[in-house]
Parts: sequence; C-alpha cells; structure tokens
Amino acid sequence: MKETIDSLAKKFRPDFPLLRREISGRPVVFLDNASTTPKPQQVIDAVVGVYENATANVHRGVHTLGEEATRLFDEARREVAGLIGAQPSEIVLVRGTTEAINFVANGLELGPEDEVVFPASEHHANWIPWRVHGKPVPIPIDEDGLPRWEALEGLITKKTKLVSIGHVSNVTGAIAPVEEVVRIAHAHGVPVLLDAAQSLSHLPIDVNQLGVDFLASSSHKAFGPSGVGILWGRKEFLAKCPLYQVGGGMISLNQDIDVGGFVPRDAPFKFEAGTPAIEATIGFGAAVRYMRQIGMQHIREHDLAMSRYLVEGLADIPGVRVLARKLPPEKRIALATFVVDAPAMTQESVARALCDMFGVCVSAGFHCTHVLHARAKLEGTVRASPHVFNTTDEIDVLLEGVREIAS
Amino acid sequence: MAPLEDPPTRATRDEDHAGRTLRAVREAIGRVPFYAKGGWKAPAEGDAGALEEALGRIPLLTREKMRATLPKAWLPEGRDVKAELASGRLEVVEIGASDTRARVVVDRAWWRAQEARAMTVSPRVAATREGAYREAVLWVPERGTGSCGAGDPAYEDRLEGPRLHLNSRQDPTFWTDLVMDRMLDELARHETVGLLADPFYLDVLARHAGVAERRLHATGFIALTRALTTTRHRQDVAAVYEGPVLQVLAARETGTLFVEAEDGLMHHAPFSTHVELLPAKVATPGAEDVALVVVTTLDREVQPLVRYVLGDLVQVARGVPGRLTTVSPIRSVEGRLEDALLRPDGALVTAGAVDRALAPLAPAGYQLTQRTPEAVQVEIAGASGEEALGAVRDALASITTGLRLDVRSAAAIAVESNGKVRTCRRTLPLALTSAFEGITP
Repeated sequence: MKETIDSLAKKFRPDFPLLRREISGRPVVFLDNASTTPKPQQVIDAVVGVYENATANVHRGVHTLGEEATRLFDEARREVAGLIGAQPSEIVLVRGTTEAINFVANGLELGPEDEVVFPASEHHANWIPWRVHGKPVPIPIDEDGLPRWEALEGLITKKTKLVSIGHVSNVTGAIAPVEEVVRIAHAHGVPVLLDAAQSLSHLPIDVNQLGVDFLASSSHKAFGPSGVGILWGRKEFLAKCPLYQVGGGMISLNQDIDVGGFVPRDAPFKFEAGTPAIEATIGFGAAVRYMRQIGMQHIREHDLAMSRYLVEGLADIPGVRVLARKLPPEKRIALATFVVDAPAMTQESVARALCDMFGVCVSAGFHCTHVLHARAKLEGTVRASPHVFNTTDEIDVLLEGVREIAS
Repeated sequence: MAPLEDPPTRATRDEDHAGRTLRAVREAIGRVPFYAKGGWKAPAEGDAGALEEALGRIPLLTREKMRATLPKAWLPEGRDVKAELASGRLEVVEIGASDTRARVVVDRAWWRAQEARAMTVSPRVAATREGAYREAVLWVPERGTGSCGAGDPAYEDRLEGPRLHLNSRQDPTFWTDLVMDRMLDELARHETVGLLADPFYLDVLARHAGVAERRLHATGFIALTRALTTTRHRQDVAAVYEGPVLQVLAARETGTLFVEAEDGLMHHAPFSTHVELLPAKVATPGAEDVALVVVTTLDREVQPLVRYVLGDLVQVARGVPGRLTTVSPIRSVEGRLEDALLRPDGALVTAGAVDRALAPLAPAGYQLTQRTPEAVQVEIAGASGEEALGAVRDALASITTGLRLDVRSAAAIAVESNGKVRTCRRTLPLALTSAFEGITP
C-alpha cells in the first residue's frame, strides 16, 4: 500500500511549486484538495504564457495574437470534453459547479410544485438552487451522513422533475451509485444531474457510460485555476434551454436587434455571453491535459491505497471519530472527515493547531453541509483530503498531529 | 432591570507588587508544562529587591512561540484539564488574525473579575459600579456565527449576566443598516451604563448613528479598547455621544493593563499583571518615551504568561509615579509594533505619531505601507490633486526623515481579512533586541 502511494506521489510532487513552501519552518503538508488543489507548473506556465505571449480576446481578434488565444481557448474545451467522453459542443463554460447547477435549475423552468430529489448530505450548491427554483425532496441520510439510496424510488413522484446527486460527497468521500440512480430515475422518465466537483480529478468519468443527463464541475478542484467550470448537457436540452444571460459573443445575426429581434448562436456559445475567463479556461485545459497524461486510472490507484491508509490511520487514534469509516475504499475517494475529542477545542481550532504546529493544511467547519452536520449531531468536523502528490510520510505527520491533539 | 453582579470595590494600591510578581513567575515556571519543558529558569528566592534585573534574565515569550502549542501545555500540573475544559469553566479562544493568531485558554471567571477590578482604576467608572451597572461590548464577536454562518443569535443568547455582546459578525463591512439599527436599539433596551468597544467597530456604528440622526446610549461611559483609537474615531464617536470616553489597554490573553483616569493618563491596573515598558533604543519622532509592552500575569492560573510580548507600543509618562503599582502610567497607546514604520536611522514611527501628523488634514482614510527599508507608500482616501497630496507629504515629512514617500490618492483603503483597516503596515522584519532596551539576545 505504501509503495503504491509513495511511488506515484514522488513522481508527481516536483510538478507542484506550492509543495516546496514551508510554514513556520515546516514543509507544508497540503491535505485540503477537496477545497481546492494546488496548481502544477504546467498549469502555471499555461496561464502565464497567455499573459506573456498571447494576450488577446477570443473569437473576435483577426490578428495573430487573437487567433492564438482563440486556438488555446478552444483546445481547452476539447480537452475537457475528452476527459468526460463528451462532445465540445455539449460543454458550456461557466464560473464553476455552483453556476452550472443553477444553470440547470433555471433551464428546467421549475415551478414551486416541481420536485427535485437529492441526498440530504449534499453541498449547499446542490441544495439551495432547489429551494429557490423548485421543491426540494431530500433523500434521508444515516448518522454517518450516507444517503439511504433505497429510499430513492419511493421519493420519485409524478411531480419529480430532476434527481440531482453528488458523484462524490465532499464530506464523507462516498461515491454515489450513479448508474443505479440513473436506472431508477430514467425508469420514471426523470433526468439526472451529476455534481462532479469532487470526482472530476479523482475518478475516470464517461458521461455516456454513466447515463446521466447533466454534469457540473469546476476547474479549481482539478488542478486548474478558479473562476471556470463546466456544465455538460445533452444537445436536445441545450437546444431548447432558455437563455439566462445575453450580450456580446452569443449573437449570430444582429441587424434586427433595433427592431426587437436577434438570432442567438448555437450551443454552447449562446450561453456564453461576454468575454469569457480566457486565462482560467486555458489553464483548465492544461490541467485536464496534465491529468490525462498521468492517467486517471493511476490517480485512482493512488486514491484507493491512500483512502485505506488515511482512514485506517485516523480511526486507530483514540478520541477520533471518522465519518463513514466502514465504507470500503472502492466506494470512496481518499478523503476523511473526522471529529477530534479535544475538550474546549472546536474542530476549527483543531485544524488551526494542525497547521500551526505541524504545517498540515486541512479544512474545518461545516463544509457547506449544514444539514448533514445537524443530522450527525456534529458542531463541525475536520476534513483531510489528499491527492495524487501526497505521500504516506505526510499522512503520518497528520496522524501524529491528531494524536497529539487528541491525547 | 437589576444588576446581576456585585459592584467591585474601588481600586487599591498593591503594596507588594514586586514580591507578588516574582512569586507568580516562580509558580508559573515551576508548574506549567510549557515553561518546565522549555527549560525556563525561575528567579531565585530573595530577588524581590531587583525585580527588573531578575526578569531581565528570563527570555521573552512571543506569540509565535505560543502559537505552536496546544492548550494542554498551559495548564498547571495537577489540574484536571479535561474536566475543566469540558465543564466550560475554561475555554479556548483564538486571538489575533490569520498569521498572527494563537490559541489561549481563558478562565471566564478570572477574566470578569480582573476586568471589573481594573476598570475601577477610573473613578468615573467606579462610581457607575455603585448603581445598577449593566454593560454592552462591541468587539470581535465572542458569540456569533461560525464558519458557513449559522444565523445571528438573539438578544437573549448574546447576554452574559449583565453584559450584552452587541456584535455577532466578525467583519463590520458586512453590517447592514438593519444590524446597526438593532445594535443602537439594544444599547437602550439593555439600559447600558458602560459600553466597552473596539474603536474601529464603534466608529462604524457611530457613523451609522450620525447618518440616522441617532445617539449612542450609554449612561455612564464608553471605554475604547483592543485597538488603536485614531483621531477620526474620536471625532465620529464624539459626534453622537456626549459622555466620557476613556482609553483602556487590554487583551484577551493578559487581561486589562491600563485604564484612563481623571488626570488623562492611563494607570496600571493592580493585582493582575506586571508590565515592563521596554524603551525604544532610538528616539521616536512624533512620540515621546515610546516603549514596548511586555506583560507578566500574576493571577492567571491557567496559561500564566511570563514576559509576554503583547506587541503594543505606548508613550510612557516618565517621571510620573505609578498610582497603584510600581509601573509607570502611560500617556497613550501608539499602535502595534508590526504597524510602526522603521526609518533608516533605526527610529520607529508609530501609528499614533502618523495619525497625529495627518490629523490636521482630516483625511477620510489613509494607509501607510512600508515594504522596503527606504520607501513608504501612502494612500489617501478623500483627497486628490497634487496640492492635496503635497500637503500629505509635508505633514509626514518631519517624522519620516530618510524615507521616500510615494503618496497617491485612493478611492478607499483596503480592509484586512477581519474587516478592519490598518492605518500603517510594515512588512519588514524587525529584531526586538535591536529596537528595545532590556532584552537579552
């Protein structure tokens, strides 16, 4: 197990300049990848390269710089499409997963009685839109925050317009049974949205194999810059989906604007009014290229071994409760959310101590899942989320820190 | 409403201050794991006659050293740490912001007792304590929203005996008019006698009160504490409050150190701390007798601090004897050491000195940032044009000799992560031994 983790990690660590940083004289141990990932040099170079060599607007300039920027930008969309087995024309570039989900919520034109079924453990990004746009129908969860999937079918009614699920929980790391959910939902004629914010950089994804109808994800949790993400949708939906913003760059014919009409371009461009996040998108493309070069199967190989090493290590420490600890590595990614029993110390305080004393960067708080924490009767948790560059030595530093705090 | 606690007695002089200090140091170093494991050496018995000399042999405790520890390192041996923390008698709080933060253990009962006693250094405050005393506090929220936000606690949930915590949101830039209206209403509803406030937070509320043509309700006094009070802060508060406004120097980790009395000086509060005022080695332009505040706690049983560098600079009232202890009174709090500019000749320019220099120009906001030894960037809000910027340069010229001033106008001054505005910032490192007397390298 250690060999698998460390041989892969050591191969890719040199790509990440951030990992060379020290905090108070200690090497930084970055275990907060579920919040956002460090950026490899390849991505940094791609972004800086735009500024240094190809600063120009895209889809507008006829000069050399404009053509180069457009080519890099369009390549990024193709890279992302290739990663998830989609067509570039089915990829709408948005600001991130949250905007992508809101895009669907708006596009489905839900009324107040239209129901959306989703696990109660979901991130607010996959909960609040259904509170605003439709009627939320949460799938019950157990005391560890795991959805009771067996309840799904009973919750689907004639009013159900969508089933929306996180591919990987940002709290438990549990992988949803996507194909089974799709089978049940489609049997009732209900489309499925997959929130892939946590899975895009961890699991091989093929939208056609999974059978989902929408996929939302972000660049910044997949080694790319923040400020850009994707909504993948089937062509039929994108063709009839109403526009939620209009302006420059999405018009194919403009002579009629002054008399009340305009002709939008085809998807995805009709949804991308205004100048896009050019540098971030090109950086996103570089990040996807980087992941594909590593190989998603290798990332998953590291993930499986790391999941076992991390969860077992934490669970062995007296005074530490790991959420969903019994979930086998095959059904989770390398992410562990836990509670440390340290009197009068909040879980945020625990996380800060881990950084101050050991240089370990982890998340703490509610992770935008208030309902999950309320159901689990927790006033906050600590979350460690490694990625392909993390070694077992680094996990040992985390474990040493948690042991010290919990003792 | 009735008062919920007995009024404290008026402050009395500590006749055995030196002896008490040395005993506290010996007790701390002997019983607290942090000091014992760190190899700290306690002063010998019989050193009471030479307090400064005995303390001078002990290293300074900085926040950086404290930061890399857990709360359990600070409880004296023999205490049932787990039970006391679990019972809520003790709590762990964080002080400072982001890179300067640290965790400290606070005994709530200790805090309240020392604060109540210390505040009576001011005869005006002592007089209010003889009646139905109720107070409100307005500073970094102790009772408020956690991460991701969990809603604003109700009035009843923000009560702690006679004390009302007005604020539940860390960053005042996100206070809405509704929130500030609620605070103004609650000051009256609570029948507030004393209002203890961070001057920055109170300034935001005072400006809102001014626009809304309302007043601050505090029948006894307002005490400004925990941050530098600027000229602008004083003016904004004075515009909506006619009562006495006092200066207080206090910190969560040390307790209340100095309280302004009727003579306009801030006097050392007895019994809870000893304070060393380490003089700056080089004369400080625009401020006299500037010293660094170093604190030793005397009655803090959990996490007793020995020679702790608080980080504040003050103007010492040299030649004026201590009224209640042997510690000299201070004339003013001058801001944080990390905010003081450093001239090439080694002189520190305090945030207080900068504020006084710019006060005649009454800028809407300003910020001086020193990133290099030879230059300071000056941003001024509410002033533009070469004449106005030149006036700023002239106003600062006498205290910034040797520094190049890059003055420019700004639409607004950027806030820190905690929502506050720092008027001065220095990112250059500074060795304490090179800047202050009385520190053994």
